[in-house]
Parts: sequence; structure tokens; C-alpha cells
Amino acid sequence: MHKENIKVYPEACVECLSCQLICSLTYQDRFVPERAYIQIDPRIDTHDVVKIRFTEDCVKECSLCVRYCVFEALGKV
Amino acid sequence: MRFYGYAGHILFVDLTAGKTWRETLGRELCEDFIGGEGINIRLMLDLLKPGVDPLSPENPIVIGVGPLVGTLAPSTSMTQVATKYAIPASSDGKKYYVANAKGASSRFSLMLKNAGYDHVVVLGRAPSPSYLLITDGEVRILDAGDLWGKDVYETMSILKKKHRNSGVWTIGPAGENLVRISHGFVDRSHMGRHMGAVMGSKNLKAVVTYGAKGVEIADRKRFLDVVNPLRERILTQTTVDPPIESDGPAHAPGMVSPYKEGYPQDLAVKTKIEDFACASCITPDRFTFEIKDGPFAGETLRTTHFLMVPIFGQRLRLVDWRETAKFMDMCNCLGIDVLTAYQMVTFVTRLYARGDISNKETDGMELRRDFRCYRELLEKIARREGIGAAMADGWYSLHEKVGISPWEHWDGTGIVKGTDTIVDSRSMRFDPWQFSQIVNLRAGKEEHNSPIVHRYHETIEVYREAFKESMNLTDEEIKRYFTDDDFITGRFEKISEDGLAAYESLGQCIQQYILSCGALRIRDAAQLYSAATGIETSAADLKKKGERIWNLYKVLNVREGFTREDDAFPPLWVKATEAPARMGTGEVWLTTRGGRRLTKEDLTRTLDDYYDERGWDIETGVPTREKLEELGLSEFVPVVEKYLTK
Repeated sequence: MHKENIKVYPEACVECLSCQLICSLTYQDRFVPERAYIQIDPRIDTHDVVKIRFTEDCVKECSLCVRYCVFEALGKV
Repeated sequence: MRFYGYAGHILFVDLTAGKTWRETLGRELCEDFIGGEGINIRLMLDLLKPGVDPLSPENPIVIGVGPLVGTLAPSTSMTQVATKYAIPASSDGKKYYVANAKGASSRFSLMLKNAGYDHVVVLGRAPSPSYLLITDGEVRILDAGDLWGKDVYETMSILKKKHRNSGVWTIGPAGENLVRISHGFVDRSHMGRHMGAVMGSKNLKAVVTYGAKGVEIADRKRFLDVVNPLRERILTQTTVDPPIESDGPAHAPGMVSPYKEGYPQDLAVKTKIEDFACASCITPDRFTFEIKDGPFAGETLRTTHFLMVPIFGQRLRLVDWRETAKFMDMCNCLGIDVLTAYQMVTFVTRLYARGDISNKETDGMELRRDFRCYRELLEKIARREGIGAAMADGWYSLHEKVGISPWEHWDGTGIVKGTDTIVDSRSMRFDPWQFSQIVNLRAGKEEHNSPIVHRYHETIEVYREAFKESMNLTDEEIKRYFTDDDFITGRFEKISEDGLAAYESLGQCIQQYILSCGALRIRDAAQLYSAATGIETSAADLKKKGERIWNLYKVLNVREGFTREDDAFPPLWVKATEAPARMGTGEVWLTTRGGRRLTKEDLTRTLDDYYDERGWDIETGVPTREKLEELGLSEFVPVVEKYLTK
């Protein structure tokens, strides 16, 4: 799902999963990256590019993921 | 019982019978041994019979992920794995140590916790090449016939594509061929230096894990009240100095021409193409460097910091950095420990070049100090061919093959319990970082808990203040570990190990308590643990639990026959203090931080200090009855009794 309020820079993502960890703690009451409203499709082979996408459940514009990303892979529009 | 922080279960896998089952994690285990390394060691004591052959089905592998793994606590991504190592630790080939290794993972540790397990016990031997799949829905022992023989990266790629978003721990062909100096890779990191053969002996190619059970924590607000300022401190304090950073200069300390020119200052910056972090880590140190031209154009090296490339390159006399990178990459692909491999290769090729050995010792292979020869040696190690077979079985085996002892010859290296040391104290001063290699229960490994120790230009005052802060010590307490101008090395080592054991039991990576400025302090770790698990624990408690864990870890090895005589300083290190010799570009000595040349007696006194600080028997180096009783480990007194002198 495309988010109007968040710009994504996948080339800056290092897959620390901090965004998923804070999102899932907030909305699932536990740390569970696989159920976060932001999903990170990992790089497997060299030159793969990370894919960052939002699920349909991401409806609040909390921008927690942006706040917890220190690598500027996510930015507020 | 509801678990917070912990997943709440131990998974047992019997590869021989093809069966799996799980047991509930006991609360007492958590309170006494925390998790991760601590509980791994406690389980090993029950599961491992003394004297077992490490490559037999009777040698268990215990994997553990601590209670902070899977949370947002920075750099809590460590997988711990304990087993009896297959490296002969004595010249008669009869002694093998039991150790706990670790690997920082992008997904493996987090996914194992999310699959619902804090520990996995692997027993027996599969009848044919297999891999273990552990998810929140199922546990299966699967056929790995089409993976057997494939290199680490290819295996990782196949399994990660087959099992979406999984974490993977795999060995390469070297582990499959029971090369004792082999290891595994967990996601982007090495894991289990020298334990690849143990996995290979079980016909276990890989462990794959995935899950979505999640990790609940007891007090979210309290947890985040520690995590958030800690993240800020990590980002605003100075982190590791160049040249350890990947973007820093490529030059290693002491580089000379033509290597300085072959490894230009901006090499890391120009060749890095990927950054990877482990889960929850905001100071990533897993990188991919690309060779852009020459015969290896397009190939890559996955490693931590680029600093290793010039260090190895100069020692191997490879002026072309691309050859060094390719050497390191080959070690990764084959699953051979690069630290041991480069030292062994250096040793045999130097001996050959001097005429100290000939084709007779090398099974007809002509050795040269060049990349083609090094490549051939690596292939022979992986296939156990010719001189490679002797190298594959460790340093004692190599000694027997070439007839020259690597721990005494000038072209050799420091060897402790059959394992080469990571850092050589002759050229780097003798401080806790060096001493830890002597007494570490994971032989030869430079492990400790002292922040900023890599910054060699700092004054002792800076170290003292950093450590006092890091380990929550009073002014009185800190005097046990420092003089006005130096470490009291033996005593410092004790508290360093206790802190290390606590962190490794929590699932905490060294990134935040050593490699950065020590942004993480033991009192932060205690707060994080208390908030995550609901088990109220102070900094003092954590240190005490760390002490308990280290003592139990020692008992495990005393049971295998290890005593003070095994905590011996490498003969080569001591040789330099007694008989000056020119080594390379200059003399090398064991010295203190103040530059004073050390004697054998100084080193003996350091060991005495260490055992005294530990409350162990000074003559035999084993925990005393009183110490074990103090730590609630009286049931293990019978193990040490025969070694006690009082």
C-alpha cells in the first residue's frame, strides 16, 4: 500500500527492523515484525534491493516508523 | 506460566530418531542463569557426558537466544551456541574444550524467538544430509541432499528464497568434510568459530527458522524509557574510530610499502556496495565490498570492517588487495575460519620459503608466497587433501605433519589450547584484551567487557572512568582493577568476564558495550531485563549471575580435564621476552601499557591475580568449594574436588 504521508528510500534501508519492532509493539502489544504494518522484504543476493511496503492496516498517520528509522530510509512528506 | 521477554520453550531435536519435542522453560533456570549463554551452559552440563568425542552423535549442540532478543533494545540480535569443540586442545589429542560461541544475525535469532523457542537442543546424528526447519507452525527435519556440497552463500540464497523472511544458519563444504577449523554462517555473520565440523558430523547442513508469535514484554513504558535515551546516546557518542569503520581509511596500523600503496586510504569507501544491520541494531557493521576490475571483477567480499583486508594482505604478502579479498571470500564460501586459515597458510609457506620444510612435508605440493598457492591450500583444506588434511585438523596435527612447532617457531603464532590467538600481545601491549585469550573458555578468543579498548591512544584515566561507568563500580571497587598507570590485568579480567557472561546471556551484542563508547552500561541492561521480563534485577544482580554463569562454564571444562596448566601463555610470546629477535620490521615484546618489558614472572603473577580474584584455587585454577557454594552451585563441588589443594 502506498502511504501519502511517508516517503520511502529503500536504498538507505539496512534492515535493522526498528520500524517493524516499534510498529508491532504499538499496535500488536508485542514485538512481532511479521505482523507490523510496515513490511521489509529482505535482500538475499548481492545487488538485491530492499522492498518497503505498508499493509492495508496502516491507517493512522502516527509516523512512528519514520521516527525510529535512523538511516533516513523513511521520511515524512 | 506467562512469559515476558522469553518465548517459554526449549525445543529438543533428536536427529538419530527423527523426533522433536518441546519442554517448558523453567523459571528457576531464567532466574539463575538468565538465558542465552547461561542456560546453554546449564543445559550442556546435563546433556554432555565428559570425555565424549566432539564428532560423535553424543555431542549435543545447544542454541540459545536471550530474553532481550526480538525486542527493540539496541543490538540484541545475538544467537549463542554451545557444544564441545572439535579442535584438539592438547598435543595428545585427548582434550577438547566445551565452549559457547555467538553470531549476530539479521533475522535468525529474532525469528527463532518468534517461532516460540528460547533454546534448541540438537542431539544425535541424522542418517543423511539434512536441515532443520523451525517455525511457529512446525518443526521438521528435511532432506538436504541437494544442498550438500554447496557453498555458504549459495545455500543461504536457496534456503532464504524457499523459506520467506527466515533466518538461516549454515555450514559450507568444509564443515561437511569435518574440517575442524571450519565454522558456520548465520545470515550475514560468522558463527561458531571452529564448530562447523560438529554440525557436519551430525549431517546437519543448516538450521532455518521463522515465526510470528512475537515477544511480549512486561512493562512497555519502562522498557522504552531505557531504549529511547540509549538509542540517542549510541547515535551521539563517538563510535569506533577509523580505521575500523568501513568508511574509514583502509590502512592497518604499521602498514609499510608496497602494501600502503596497494591498499589506498579510500579503498573501503570506493568498494563498499551494501550495508546490513542485525535486527534492532542502529550501528550496522556488516558490509559487502565489490571487486570492480581485474580477474575477480564482479565478485564480492562480505565481512565486517574492511580493516581485516589490509592486515591479512600485508601478512600474506599480497600487494593486490583484490587477491586478499578473494582469499577471504573463499574462506567464507567454503566455511573455513579465515583467522586460522590465514595464519596456517602464512606459517607453512614461510617455512617452505626458508627451506625449513620441503615437498616431503607438503605431500609433493610446491608452496609459494602467492595467491594461487593460497587458493590451492584452501581447497586442499576443504577437501582434506595432502597437507590440507593436516591443516584441517588443527595446529597440533599440522605440527606433526611438518615437524616444526607453530607455537615456538618465529614464523608461528600464539596458540592457546590448540587455537590461534586473535591478537598478538608482542606487538600490541599486554592488557586485558590480550590476557582474555589465555583464560577465555572459548580458547584463544579475545573477549572482554571493556569499552573503547580498541582505542590504543587513550590514557589509563579514560579507560578507568569508562569502565567504572560501564560496570557501575564505586571508587573503592575500581581500585581493584587499575593502578595509577595500568590495568591490574588479572583482576580486571574477572569482572570483565562476569559482565560479558551477563550480556551474552541476555542476547546483547558487543557493539554497544565494547565497540562504541560503552553507551550501554550494565545498569541499563539490568533495567531492560527487568522491564522486559518482569524479573526485577539490579546491576549487582546481573554481575552476580554473570559470575555464576562463568563459574559453571569453568566447571564444564574442569570436568573435561582443563586446569591451570592449560591456561598457559603461548611459548612464542614468552620467547620474545627472553631472546630478542628481529621480526619483520622491528623487535616485538610483551610490554605493559607503560612500555615496561614483561617477564615470565609478571605473566605468572597475572594468572595468580586472576584466580585469586575469582576465588579459585591458585595452584590448579579451578573453582573452590566455597566459591561454588556461594554461587548456589554446591551440587558441582564433586567435579572440582580432586583438583583442590586446600
